[in-house]
Amino acid sequence: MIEKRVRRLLVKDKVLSDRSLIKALMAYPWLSKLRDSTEETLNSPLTALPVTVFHKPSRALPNEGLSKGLSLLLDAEAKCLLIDGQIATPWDLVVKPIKQ
Amino acid sequence: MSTSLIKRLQNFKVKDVLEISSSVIYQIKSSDPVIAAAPFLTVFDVDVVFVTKEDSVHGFIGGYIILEIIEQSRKNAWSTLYKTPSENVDWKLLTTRLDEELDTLLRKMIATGYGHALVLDKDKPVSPIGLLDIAKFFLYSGVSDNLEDITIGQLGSSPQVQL
Repeated sequence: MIEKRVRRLLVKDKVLSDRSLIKALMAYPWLSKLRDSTEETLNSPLTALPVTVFHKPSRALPNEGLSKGLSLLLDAEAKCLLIDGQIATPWDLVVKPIKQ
Repeated sequence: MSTSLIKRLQNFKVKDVLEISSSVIYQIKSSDPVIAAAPFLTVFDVDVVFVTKEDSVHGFIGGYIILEIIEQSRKNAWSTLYKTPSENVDWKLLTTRLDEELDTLLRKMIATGYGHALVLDKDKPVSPIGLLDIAKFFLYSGVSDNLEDITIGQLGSSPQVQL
């Protein structure tokens, strides 16, 4: 995330966000692990994290309209969409229509 | 670019978004250590915590900043989080006004790359506003309905989403 300057990573079919990761790291038992051994904690595999860190995106078809996309996004646990292998975040659906 | 969406947005102001979705402003002092932002981010599940200095808002701390500190100070992350004043690491703040046009706020977001801002009413902070608030507004106001010049297939990105 830090290296690539991204806030969300797609891990298999779920999304890991900076927000969910910080929530996990600031709670038991990761908080004490982080305090006692940051290096070791950061080297832990993603599978060691609780499943609640990974959130499910909604799936959408590329020919859907903006309102349908927004509705699916707001309903999604991960607050993002998977569209034909691409990911769409609130930035993509709200800002890009103005920007592009 | 959706010209029809831009045309529709001209009728709306930031205050219209807040009528649908407004939130509490969580803040810490500029001298507080950056770790002070963590409980707000985790317990109250907010995207950003505002950093205030001498009665004005100096910047904001988000989860990404804390992750960056942890990653960049692997040997002493804990003490860094407790010793670094928030004002040293916070990110510049985007502000808007209740009566600002929504289109103007979105253009400011494009220019800065920030997905959230602090709404001011005569220099007094009234609410944070973020992309999810604007998404809700698009949906519930009908502003995003039946736009013929746009489909969501045009809007996705590669799975590694830029900040």
